[in-house]
Order: sequence, then structure tokens, then C-alpha cells
Amino acid sequence: MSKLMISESMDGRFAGSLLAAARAESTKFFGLRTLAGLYASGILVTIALGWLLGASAKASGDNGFDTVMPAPLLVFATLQFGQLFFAAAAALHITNEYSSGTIATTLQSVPRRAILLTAKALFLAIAGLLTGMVMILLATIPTALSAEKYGVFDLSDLLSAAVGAGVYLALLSVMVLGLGLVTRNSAGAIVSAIILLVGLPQILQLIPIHWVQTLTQFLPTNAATFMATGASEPYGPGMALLVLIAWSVVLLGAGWMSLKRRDA
Amino acid sequence: MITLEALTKDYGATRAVNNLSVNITAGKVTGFLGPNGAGKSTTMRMILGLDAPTGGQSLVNGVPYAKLRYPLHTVGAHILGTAGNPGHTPRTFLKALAQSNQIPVRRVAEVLAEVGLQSVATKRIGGFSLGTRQRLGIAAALLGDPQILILDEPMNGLDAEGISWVRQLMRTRADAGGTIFVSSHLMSEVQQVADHLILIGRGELITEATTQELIQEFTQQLITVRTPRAAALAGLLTQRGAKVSTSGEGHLEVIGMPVERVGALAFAGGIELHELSIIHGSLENAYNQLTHDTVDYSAELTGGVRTK
Repeated sequence: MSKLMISESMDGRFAGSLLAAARAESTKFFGLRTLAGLYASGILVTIALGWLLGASAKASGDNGFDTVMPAPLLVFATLQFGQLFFAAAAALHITNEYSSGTIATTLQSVPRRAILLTAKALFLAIAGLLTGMVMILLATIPTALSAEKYGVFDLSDLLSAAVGAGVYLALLSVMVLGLGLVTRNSAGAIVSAIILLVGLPQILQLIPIHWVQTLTQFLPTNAATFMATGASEPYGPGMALLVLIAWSVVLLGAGWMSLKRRDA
Repeated sequence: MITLEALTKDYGATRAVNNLSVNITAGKVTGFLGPNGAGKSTTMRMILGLDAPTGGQSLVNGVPYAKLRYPLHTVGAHILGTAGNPGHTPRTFLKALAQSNQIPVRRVAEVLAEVGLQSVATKRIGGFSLGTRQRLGIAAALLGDPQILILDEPMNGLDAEGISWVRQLMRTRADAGGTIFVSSHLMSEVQQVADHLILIGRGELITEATTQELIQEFTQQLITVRTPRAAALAGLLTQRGAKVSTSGEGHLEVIGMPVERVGALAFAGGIELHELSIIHGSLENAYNQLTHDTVDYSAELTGGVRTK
């Protein structure tokens, strides 16, 4: 029987507890077929859609349309759809704990809410970052092959798409973690994520009012596009990154209030 | 040692736990008894820092639970209905818990063997029976080899063999100096193993004593008498030192006098009797009587209060 261990607010100890908790989050995530399956499906769908988009670019190009776009950015464009798999996985990673009651066991093992929240966000961000980068690298190969000369790209295209997708999936996962903590409900979290990522960009662009259009440009999906494509209009990649970070901070902050203030 | 200091919890307008102050000490099995809805789970959840108290506080070895760095080394707990995600296997579930508290991963196989679940270590938890999930929850509680065990209705869903196993486990760990806090809504589940009993009803402390004291206090013989001249007989018996209460028209309950003497006094006083019988008190009866007034979802209870 071991002795009592009391926390101290020393940075090293916080980091140790945080890493231990993040490792546990990783074990829980990959131990669930649903979550591992969503990640695998997201990667496969992105590869397949990239190839399709490449083939379509070649068909259009052969017919005389000007459709040249670097293959890595073609892959990035498919994330409009593929992102939903990763968003669903991030949502279920937290809402599963509420629906199964295991949040009680989790908080017994990691009673400090700040450590638990950081561990979950850290794990999801790392998983999203690595997956996003690897996925772009993988999917660029079949896309470049199917697009042929209409998908030519250089290393900087590949890097900006890979880093852009990685950073986007990392921040997206953190945003959705926040939604999951607030709703504590799988359907609620996934539906609100779909509304934010797909619904709002679609609906708002149909409203021909100037400030609504401006607002639309700051939605996460559009900011992600500006970040990865290196656009200069309406704002550049640096600003796009700030917009995505702002969304993450606001939604994770809302999740933090729910975790901190409400009973488990 | 677990210390509750004026612990209080409100859910909206409902007071689930009211001003509960008790110490749960080491080297003993402490039974935490009360009817369904009495506030047992809520109290345990507050000890574990899951629910925030409206008032008062609970301390584990003198500090709030949330101040424990790797709490599974100090406190092992199984709260009803929380043993693992249905999609996980016992091995994954326990491995994640071990990692979060820097417990060597070999402990996973050890506790699975201790609760007898090696054969299902890689099966999905969702397919388990209630009894198997209880064992898994207890395995999780034992993972960090903690000095304090908090078990919420651990015998629910267990078969006779499982119940006796849990009792043995609690006894062994208490004898080795552990603090064991176990809740139940059935006296019969804990009276054999608990050294100390805390009874609550509607969130309030009803009584707290050693099991031995409660048995002595409540297992005196109770005599029931039916007679058309209840008042006269009650007077006669009270004069001779018995404690008499009326439990209905023509119906007396007598404590503190042998049944022969009650009969003799009635005969000498020329009082006609329709019934004279002994009820053997048990802790079960005592518990039912004590909590009778506090049961929230009371059905027809009179049948359950007295067993002849």
C-alpha cells in the first residue's frame, strides 16, 4: 500500500501528470473500434476523393478547361468532406465517456480538471496533426498520378498543404472536443460540428448581405482553405491560423467551463 | 481515513445529502446503509470529487480528493454502473487507468487474475453480465493497491460465490489496515462483514454505531399482545417496568419483559387475551424500522417491517 501523494504546483510534476493522462487518452482512443475506424475511414476517403478529383481535373483539362491545381491542394480540397470523420472521432472521444458513465472513472484517476482537459486536447491535437500531414503525403501520390500534368506541384505546395491539413485537423479536433464537453451527448456534438463545419458555410453564402459574407470568410472551414492555399485575399495564412486558433480557444473555453462547473 | 464535514448537496430544490458528518476509519469495514435514493451514491461521488458539495467538505487522509496527484494509489473506488466503456476490453480499460496514474502495466494482469476475469481480458465489455462488470469495477479499484476502498453496492448482480468473494476481499484488506467504505441498501448484504454501520435516510444521518452495538440495541425480544382491554393491560405492564407501545386498536407491543410474565400479569388481572406472541428482533428489522420513515418511494411497507 503506497503512501499518500499530494500535488504541488511545480511545472515538472504538472508535465508528468499531463503526459501520463495523455497516454491514457491515447490508449482509450485507439482501444475503441469506432474511433480508430473513423480515422482509418477518413484517411481512405481522402485518398479516394483525391484520386477522383485528380481524374476529374485531367478530364476537364483535356477538354480545354483551365483546371491546373497542384495535387496536394486538390487533396486538401477534399477535406471539406473528409474532415467530418475526424470531427466525429473527436466528438465521440469525449461524449462516449459521458454516455457510458466512464467519465466518473476518468475523473477519479485524473481529478484535476485542468490536467484532464489539457491531456484530451493535447492527444487529439497530436493525432490530428500527424494524421493530417501523413494523409496529404499519402493521398498526393494517387492524385498526382490521376491528374497528370494538370496536378503538377512543387515541394512548397506539398509542405503548405500537409502542414495546413495537420494544423487544421489538430485545431478542428480541439474545437469539437469543446462542443462535446458542452453537449455531453454524441448526437448533439456531431450535429453541432456538422453545422459549424459544413452547414453554416453553405447556408451563409446564400445570404447576399455584405456583413454576412464577411462573416462567412471567418468560419473554420474557409479559414483552413486560406491557410493551406497561401491565399492573400481576403486574408493570408498567418491571419487564417489566428482565426482557427481563436475558434479553438473559444469552443474549448466553453468546454472547460462545462467540465469545471458542472458535476460529472 | 475519510472525513465528512457537514457535507451537503442540493440538486435544484432537492436536498440529496444534508449536513453529513462522519469519520470512516482505517482497519475496519464501514457499511453505508440507506434505502434507494438516500444519498449514498451522491456522498461517495462527492468524496471522489465527481460532484461538488453545496456545503461542507470531504477529506481523504486529510486532503480533498482532487489534491491527490495519482489518486489510484491512495483510493480505489467503484461507483455503480461505471465500469468501462462497452467498446473497450478489460485490458484496454485497465491499461489506460494504469497509465494515467503511473501504475506499472503488469498490475493489469494481476488484478484481472485477482477478480477472476483473465479469460475475458480481451473481450468487449459491452457483452458482459452485471456481475462480470462489477468484478471489473472492483479490479479497477484494486489497480493501484490503495489503502482506501470505496465500493458502491458492490454485491449488486453478483452470485452467492461472488458475494462471499467480495466480503472476503473487504475483510482481508480491512484486517491489513485498509479503510473499506461499502454502501448497500440491504442490511443482510453487509451485516456479516461490516464492523461499523452508518445509516442514512433522505440524505441525513440516522445512526452510526458498531454493528455489535446495533445488534444489541435492536435485537431485544418484542412481544405483541392483542386484547380488548389494551389500556388496562398497558397500565399494568408499565407499572411492572415494561415498555409498552400501541400499534393499533387493541394491539400492544411490549419490550423489556419475558413473555411468561406478560401472560401471568394478564391472567392475574383478569384481562382477556386474543394473542400473545414473540417477535425475534433482527438487525434487518431494526434497519427497516429506522429507515421506514425515510423511504422516498414507499410501497406497502407494513409487511416488510415485521416478520413473525
